[in-house]
Amino acid sequence: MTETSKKHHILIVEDEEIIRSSLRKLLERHDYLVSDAVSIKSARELFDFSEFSLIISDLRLPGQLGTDLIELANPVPVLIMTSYASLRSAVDTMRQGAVDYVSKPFDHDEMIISVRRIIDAPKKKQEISPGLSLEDYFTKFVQENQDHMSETELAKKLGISRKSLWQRRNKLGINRKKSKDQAKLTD
Amino acid sequence: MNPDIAIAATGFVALGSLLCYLLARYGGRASDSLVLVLALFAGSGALLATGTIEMAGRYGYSTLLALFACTLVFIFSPLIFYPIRRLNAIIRFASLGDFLTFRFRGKAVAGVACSCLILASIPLFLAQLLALESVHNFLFDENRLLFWLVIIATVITINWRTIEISPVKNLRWIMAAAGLLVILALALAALASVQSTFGSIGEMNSWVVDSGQRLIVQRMESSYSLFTIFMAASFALPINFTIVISEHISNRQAGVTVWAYPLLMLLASIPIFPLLWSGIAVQSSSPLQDYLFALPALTGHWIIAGLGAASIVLIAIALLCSMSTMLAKMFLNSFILPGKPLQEQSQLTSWINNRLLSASTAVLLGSVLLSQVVRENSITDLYLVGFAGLAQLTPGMLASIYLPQASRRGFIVGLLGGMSLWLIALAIPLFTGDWSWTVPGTESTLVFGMENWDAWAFEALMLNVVLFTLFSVFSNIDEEQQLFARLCMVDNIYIPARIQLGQGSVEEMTSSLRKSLGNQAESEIELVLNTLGMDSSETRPAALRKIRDQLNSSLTLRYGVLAAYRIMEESLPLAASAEQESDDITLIESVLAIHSNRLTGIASELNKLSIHHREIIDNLPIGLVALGPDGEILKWNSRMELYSGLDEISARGALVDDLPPPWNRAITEFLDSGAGSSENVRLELDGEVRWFSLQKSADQSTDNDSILLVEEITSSVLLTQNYINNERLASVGRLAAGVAHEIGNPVTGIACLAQNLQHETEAGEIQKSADQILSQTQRISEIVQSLINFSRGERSLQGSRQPVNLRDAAEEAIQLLSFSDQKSSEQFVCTLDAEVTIAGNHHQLVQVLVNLLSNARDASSDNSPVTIEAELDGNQLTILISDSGSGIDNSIQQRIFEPFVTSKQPGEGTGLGLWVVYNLVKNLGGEIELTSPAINSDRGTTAKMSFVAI
Repeated sequence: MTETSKKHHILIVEDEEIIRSSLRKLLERHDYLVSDAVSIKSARELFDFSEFSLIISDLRLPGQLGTDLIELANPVPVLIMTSYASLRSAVDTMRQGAVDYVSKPFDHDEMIISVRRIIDAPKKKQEISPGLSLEDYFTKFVQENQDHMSETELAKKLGISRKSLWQRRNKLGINRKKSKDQAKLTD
Repeated sequence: MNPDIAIAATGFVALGSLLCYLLARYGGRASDSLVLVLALFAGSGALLATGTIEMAGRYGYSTLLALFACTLVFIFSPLIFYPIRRLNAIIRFASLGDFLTFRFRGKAVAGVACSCLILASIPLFLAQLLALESVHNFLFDENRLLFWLVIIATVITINWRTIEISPVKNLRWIMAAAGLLVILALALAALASVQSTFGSIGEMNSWVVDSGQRLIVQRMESSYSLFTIFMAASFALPINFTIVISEHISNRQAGVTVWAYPLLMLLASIPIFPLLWSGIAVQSSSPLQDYLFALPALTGHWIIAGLGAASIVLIAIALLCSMSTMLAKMFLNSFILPGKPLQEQSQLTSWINNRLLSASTAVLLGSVLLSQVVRENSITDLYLVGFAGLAQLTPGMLASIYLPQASRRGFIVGLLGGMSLWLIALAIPLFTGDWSWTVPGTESTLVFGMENWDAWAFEALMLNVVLFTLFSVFSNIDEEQQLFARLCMVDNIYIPARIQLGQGSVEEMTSSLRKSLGNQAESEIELVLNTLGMDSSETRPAALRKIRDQLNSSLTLRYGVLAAYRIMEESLPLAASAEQESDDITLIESVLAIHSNRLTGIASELNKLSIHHREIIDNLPIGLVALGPDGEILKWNSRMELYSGLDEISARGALVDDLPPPWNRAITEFLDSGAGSSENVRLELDGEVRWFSLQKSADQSTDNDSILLVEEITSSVLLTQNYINNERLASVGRLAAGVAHEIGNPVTGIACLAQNLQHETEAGEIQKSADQILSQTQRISEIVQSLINFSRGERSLQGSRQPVNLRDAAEEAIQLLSFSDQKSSEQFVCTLDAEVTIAGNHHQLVQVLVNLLSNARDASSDNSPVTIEAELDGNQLTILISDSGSGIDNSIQQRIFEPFVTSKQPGEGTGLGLWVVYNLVKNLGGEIELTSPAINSDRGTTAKMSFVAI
């Protein structure tokens, strides 16, 4: 693996050694330059955040929460990993300005897709006005993403089951665009 | 020579004896009572068949008054015999002599009373012998020697047989037969004589008027003396005392005598005057005392004459036998046994029986010889003198029951005075003939003998009473006499004190009794055990006291008051005690129950009240045990019976140690602990686990009894356990969210490693990944395991106490808490020594610590440290958990351990956490208190727990 200037530099902040090294291997396999730290404190001591294209951080870190990095590393996008994501933690994370989040345990392909999408996309922060209610966020998220995501993906992103996705959608009156998936189900 | 009559007489003797023997042997209760009453009736002896007719001739209708006086003792037996019968519960008296000795104490009393009874009985003996002789003289002309030999042989044989088995009881049927024959003979003889002499009752009546007999029989000159002496004598008549008191007849049988004896007397007195008048009308040459057989013989009714003769023979022999054995026994009890070392006799029973037989034979032979001297006296004279002598014992007997002031000196002096006058004025003249003495210096002459019988008999009795009274009033009564005087009082209820015995078991009693009784000890104890229905394994103090009392009673019956007292003092003395012994409540209750119908007025109301109170205690919905100072159970109410399955009768009087397990251990441990109450005592009853709360009265009870309350709290304990369990499950739920996060990390690790594996090519890397995956699964297992451990816990509060390491428990609690909040593992500062252990249950201790630590953490919003420290002082371990958080509001600090009290917002806390902590700590044998603000601080809270370290 040769180091090129074109390579994007990614910082991993994760206290679990195995996850950290596995993630590092994954990203390095996909030609990213990877640095890592076990906590926000050591990350701040070791690195200047501005040299990174992306920071991937665990939510629960010793001493501080991963979401603190969003503020510290601005404008570098921060991707948050959470264990067993729930709608609430997803909303909280996104509301605090994380560029995306991945729930643990994560699929390597999905992780790479997310990383690529963030790095390749024009720099744009997720605009979520503070004070957006859970329902509003749900509506917005579903409307924005239902075109390019399957229902399974949507549900997983939101940390809820498909059934409760339907229920909430019906309750909030979000129009469904008939996808292939959907057509198949209603046939 | 009247062979026909002799044959008939023999036949009747055999027939009557057989009939009564069969009745006594095979009859039921009714015939038992019949035999008893007939035997009592025969107790007056030949008087009824012979003397009464002569008396009728001499004193007229006063005779009937005298016979009526004889029945008074039975009519008034509730006043006279019942008080003494009541004493039978404590002591059994073989004779009147024994009773008087028991009351007035001392060998002198025994000697004087026994001598007087024997002296007074001698004329009665002589009367029987004279009656026998008169029958003999009527039937046969010669062979007087042979006749006496036959009589003596018969009496000795009967005595030998009856002494061998048991006292007078075995004579009952002979006496009953005699009584029956007498009544029959009197009735038939009167009928036959009236029939042949007058033809009809109406003619007899006109003859009585015409001949002037009517005026003769209406004389009442001696009626006072006759009435008094006969009544007094029947009190002291040995046969009455023996049957009614010594033989311990049932109350029902005693009740029968009250009406049946007077009825028989009435039956016996009806034929007297017709017989007398018939004899006078036909101008019979026979003496009046022979009319029973002489008149029918004269009128040709030889079968009836035989019956009369038979009745006289039988009644005389029966009385000779019973009186001689009774006197022999009295003699032995008063003079021989008290000083005799009984333990030296290897065959004590037969030794005593031999002495009894010898003594009774001696009495008989002496009387036979004496009877040859007094042959000229009439049977009536002998009876009158004998009764006047017996009457001398009555003042002592009545005073025993009714006058607690009566003293020993008064009794002895009165009896000696009365008997002396009796001897001089009545007894000696029997042998010497009447004699007179002119008082020096005066013209008046005192005539001693039968001529002035009524005066002398009455005056001798009066002298006795006056001396008795004077000497009793002017002499002091010592403590021993007072005690026994109280015991004998008619209104006394004997309540033995709860005295300590020197012996702790039946075997010990037997072996110490052997010191005084030798080989006889075993059989005495066995007899007592049989009577009481107990077995030799008995060790309950109350039962042993009962055995001792019963033993005292039966020994008194067998060996007399003096000997029994000596034996008991020698071998089974009561442990000397300085303080007043408390009354035996058990016995008081049973005695009151027996006597409740005798209580009247306020006493009866009080008894009702006490019964009411007892019932309240019995029916308390809570177990109650009253214990004496020595741990003896005095009360065991019905709820205790229900709990333990042990009825009160077997529990009462036992020591706590004798109770069946697990009660003995539970109660002993509780008493030994010295605590006032003990909660959650776990007992396994019939394989079922039940919980009890024990409480003890403070040691202020005046008689040092302690009261134990035993309450079953199984249902409330089970409820508490359910709450504790639910609370734990609730905390499991709270912890579960944290656990999910905690498991998330290793699961992610595994997922990552597995996904990377497909890209790994190096064998070393693959191996490393596999190892890492395994270690991650191990991590998951450990987390899951600790949660499962916590959630499983123990369903029951109890469980065995095992050494629990405090630090291990604290670390486990901290780890559990770190699931829900990872920061906390750093927040908790644990400075516990690795060595400290307490006796308890690991799961429970962890639950306590989890609850306390999570409370401390929740109160510390600023993540300030929570310290866990322990101090060991001796074996007293103090655990302090302190935080510097928000503290506890004063308003709930007092109630903080009550259920559903919480300072948290609704929905955040159940309010059960500290309540559970309190219960678990108590269950672990510890104490807990919360102080806010924390110790050495101005904020926060300290939880302080004390345990006994091991």
